[in-house]
Amino acid sequence: MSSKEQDIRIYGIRHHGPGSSRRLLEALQAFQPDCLLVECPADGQQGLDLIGDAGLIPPLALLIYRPDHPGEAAHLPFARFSPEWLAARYATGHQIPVIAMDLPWGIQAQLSGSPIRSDQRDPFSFVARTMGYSDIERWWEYYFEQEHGQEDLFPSIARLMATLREDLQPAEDPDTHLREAWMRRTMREYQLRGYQRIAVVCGAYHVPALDLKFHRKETDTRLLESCPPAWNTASTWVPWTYFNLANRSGYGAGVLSPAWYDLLFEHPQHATIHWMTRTAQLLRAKGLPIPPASVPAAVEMAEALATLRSMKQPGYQELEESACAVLVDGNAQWLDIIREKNLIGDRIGKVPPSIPRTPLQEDFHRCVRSARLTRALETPGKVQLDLDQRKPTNHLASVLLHRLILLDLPWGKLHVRGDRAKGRSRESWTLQWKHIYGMRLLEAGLWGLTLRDASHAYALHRALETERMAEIADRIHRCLKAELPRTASDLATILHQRFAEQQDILDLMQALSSLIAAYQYDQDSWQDDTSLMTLIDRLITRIRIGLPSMMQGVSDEQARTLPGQVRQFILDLRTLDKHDELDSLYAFLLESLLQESGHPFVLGAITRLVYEEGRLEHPAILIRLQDHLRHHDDILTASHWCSGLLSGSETLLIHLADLWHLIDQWIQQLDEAAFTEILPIFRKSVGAYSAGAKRQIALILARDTRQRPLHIHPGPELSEAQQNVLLPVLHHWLYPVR
Amino acid sequence: MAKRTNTKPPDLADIHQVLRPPAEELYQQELTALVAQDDRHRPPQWRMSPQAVRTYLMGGTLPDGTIITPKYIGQPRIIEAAIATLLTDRALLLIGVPGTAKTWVAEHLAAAISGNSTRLIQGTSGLAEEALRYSWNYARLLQDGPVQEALVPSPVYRAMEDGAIVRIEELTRIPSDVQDSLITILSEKILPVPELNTRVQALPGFNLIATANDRDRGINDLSSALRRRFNTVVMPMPATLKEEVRIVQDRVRADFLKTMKEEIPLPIHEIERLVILFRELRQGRTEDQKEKLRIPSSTLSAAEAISVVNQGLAMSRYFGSGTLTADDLAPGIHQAVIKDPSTDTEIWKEYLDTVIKGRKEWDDLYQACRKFS
Repeated sequence: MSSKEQDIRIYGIRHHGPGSSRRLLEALQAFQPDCLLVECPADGQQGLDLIGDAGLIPPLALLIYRPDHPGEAAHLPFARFSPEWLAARYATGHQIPVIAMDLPWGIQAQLSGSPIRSDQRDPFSFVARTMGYSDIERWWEYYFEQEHGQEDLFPSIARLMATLREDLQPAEDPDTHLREAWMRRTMREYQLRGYQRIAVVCGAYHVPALDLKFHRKETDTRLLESCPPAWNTASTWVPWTYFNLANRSGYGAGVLSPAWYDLLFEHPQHATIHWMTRTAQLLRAKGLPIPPASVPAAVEMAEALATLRSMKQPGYQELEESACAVLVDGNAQWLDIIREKNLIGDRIGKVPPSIPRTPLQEDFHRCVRSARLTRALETPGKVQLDLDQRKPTNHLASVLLHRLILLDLPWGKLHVRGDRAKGRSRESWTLQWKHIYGMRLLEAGLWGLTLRDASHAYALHRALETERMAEIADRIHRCLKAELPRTASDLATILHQRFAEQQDILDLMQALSSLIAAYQYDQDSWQDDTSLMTLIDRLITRIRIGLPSMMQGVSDEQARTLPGQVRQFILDLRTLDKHDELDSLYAFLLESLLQESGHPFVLGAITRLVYEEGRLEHPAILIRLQDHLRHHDDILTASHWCSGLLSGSETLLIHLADLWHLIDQWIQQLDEAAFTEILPIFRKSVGAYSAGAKRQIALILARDTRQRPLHIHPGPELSEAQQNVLLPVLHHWLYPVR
Repeated sequence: MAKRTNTKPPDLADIHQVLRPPAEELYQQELTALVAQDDRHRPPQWRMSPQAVRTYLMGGTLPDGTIITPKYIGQPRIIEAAIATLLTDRALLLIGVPGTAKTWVAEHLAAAISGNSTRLIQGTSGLAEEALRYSWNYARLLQDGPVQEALVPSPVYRAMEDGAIVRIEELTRIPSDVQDSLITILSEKILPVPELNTRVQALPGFNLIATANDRDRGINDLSSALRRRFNTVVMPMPATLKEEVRIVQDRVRADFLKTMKEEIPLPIHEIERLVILFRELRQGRTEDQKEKLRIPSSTLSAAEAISVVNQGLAMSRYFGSGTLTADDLAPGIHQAVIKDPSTDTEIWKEYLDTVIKGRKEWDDLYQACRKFS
């Protein structure tokens, strides 16, 4: 019953092209449609119906998935500049229906296996090449997106596409014919329903195929009969990022520069100036002094470059080249540093809680059920959990909790000590669900549809972001516990590629320890993986070479952690049976003690370390201690050294009466100012001793005081007033009030 | 007094016998053909359009079949950025380590744009302000007083009058206070002559191309005020291993011929290894791209590889076996890599122990370097 007044207008767009968006909105305003059909799989209709929700903030992806096969799904990303998004929002704003007109994904996915909406790009690239452009994106940008004229561009796009499809006859896959037949069917259907002004928004390529005059209804029906029955699917929205938009393949993918398009969309007339200003700001934030006058100079050069290359306006490449020459004096590395922010952007979408559950959320609840943790999830307070990994459900629970931690969702906290005491198969956890985890679970949807995939992708993402190698190594260990061996080996590759950049030897030492822990946890599966052992060897070499300069240049604070790391390093070397490395390490340590090269605290602690390891005799320590204490002029160094010697576990030192005696004497001869200065340094080491140990030391000293004269080396006599100040402090130090 | 020599200038016919004529004479045919067939817009005083300048540098074929030889082999975007800069208000600064064709590109740009590449100032640490502005013919000055005829214009002065390109080589070798006399010239496009109470106002088409070596010793950094009058285009190092090995080989052969007056069989294997080593450390990546490395503070350019090989050849010839071995190269490598001992030593040791040690066929080099450091 198509009446004469019925009007169908087809708008050919480029997915995510901001230029198309602008023109499309203008065209819709002029046309005033009463129904909008968009190129979107029909089984995405459920999600499309929710598009009016004001809480949905792009970038988002319309997710179509199989509820019974959670791994299989398609993401259809939308940015705020995407023509389809703007058209759909226009429609909900004008209370007209938005209809998903494309072949359902539940059918497409069963066809020849081609990825969804694999647009026939060949004709475009043919034109682009003929016109001297190396890639279609730029060609489209110059000819369609950047054109600001008022003329209606859609008819000329349609003509161009018609000519292209006719002349070139690209090798079209049968799926495209099916999809176009389905689109035509939808168009006829809405004509029948009596809509008078139908607007169709689709990829430019399809425009010629959607002219109903040239296609018979019966042919289409016959063609569509060959389709397999559609899968049962559902759809909803998930938050998306510009990063994903730029990287993922899929529906309308390949937006290489979302942040740039965002700018083009927001400031169509002045994108060049805005881009250059933002670049200058980003560079200033990195500490570069960019004078304001340089920004117009850079814009001028970008325009000159565009002229030279016969373009109407500078594109991203011209902008970046000019910024390089004008703003950063040719140091392109600066632009590399800000490129991701500048080109891709860090925008993340939002989905309100009113939107139905995502597959990841469903997978989470499924995992919780099979690990028998439903009750723990519903309990508001803390829940203690002892897991025996040999039981299947307990094992599932452990894997689940570790995977959640990998996703920055620390529902469970693992108790390390309990873990060791009960053996490897036991773990004890404290579980506490917080509301914010629900939000986090929703956001994590962008990393994958199942906990397994999401924790894999997110762990890799974090490994690329972090500056600390120890963090990556930690994740490797956790991935093994979370049964993600592939992730672990991918992380090992990342670590291998990145550790050379790390200057901080402490971090590398921590990373080494975590790696060895991971190695021990799952020795069997690492056994034939030589890459992990090579990585460990490289780390050891790097640490051995970097340790000397590290010893020299540590801050007081780092000095406190370094000895512990060296100790761990020795343990690590011993675990790996690296006797050669161990010997050269000891040789180096003894030499630095001899030469006094390093922070005094570190040297003190190292002295004790080599003593504990049996490489230094008891009298040697006393001689060294005496040596140090005798430097009366440098009290600070002496006390750092001493404090290093005393730090750590007290049990080993407690019986060395001579040692305490020497220290005691030294302290007693200090004047008040010096004493106040060294007190905090000593407290940090000795304050951690147990009360029993402190009492025992006091007893040793008291006994010695009775037996021997107080001063072996006569120091300055203490006045009574001085003694009165000193003794209570000393008393307090030795017998702290509990 | 010594016998008077004949100071007659050389005949025009002799021109091809000079060691190296300027670009505009050497490539006169190409330039004429380009100008004749150029129908695009020419900026004021430019002899050809910016697109034609690009064709002159990058090479191509003209509509009438004239073949334009490429003057610069590398990425076209470098040349485009240089030309675009000359279209704007700012001057062009070509920066790069030795051997990246800075001077060559500057000369050809001037030849194409202004038809004259000889307005040139060689920057040295002894350069005076007069060399950039103008000086006086003292005989005339004493005789006639300060008149226009007594003034000797500098190349910059003449370029301003003609609306042409002037070149300054090694800008950063010029003392900073002398450099700064360019600021007014570049920003106001005016050169005042207080002695005559006049000034030169630059015609459109005037611009300046400077070259500088950013990683050399004894350089005077540009003041930030002067920097802002320049757009900087960095001339990149050779992009591929093959290209760089060829550059080093050709230069080593030529240098040896020049100093020793004899041909030698080139130590191709040693050169290739050395270039790989330099490139890896310079780029912070192994050639197979598998591993990241730390980058030392040294330049490690092709020019340095050349000097290491030359030094090694001299060592082997006079103190060694006569054929170049790893032992002859090790001292040179050590010197070239370690510029700042506090950081570079560690980086070099690490490279030795992780990368070189792992390469079986590099064992002699590993041993030689180990011995030396």
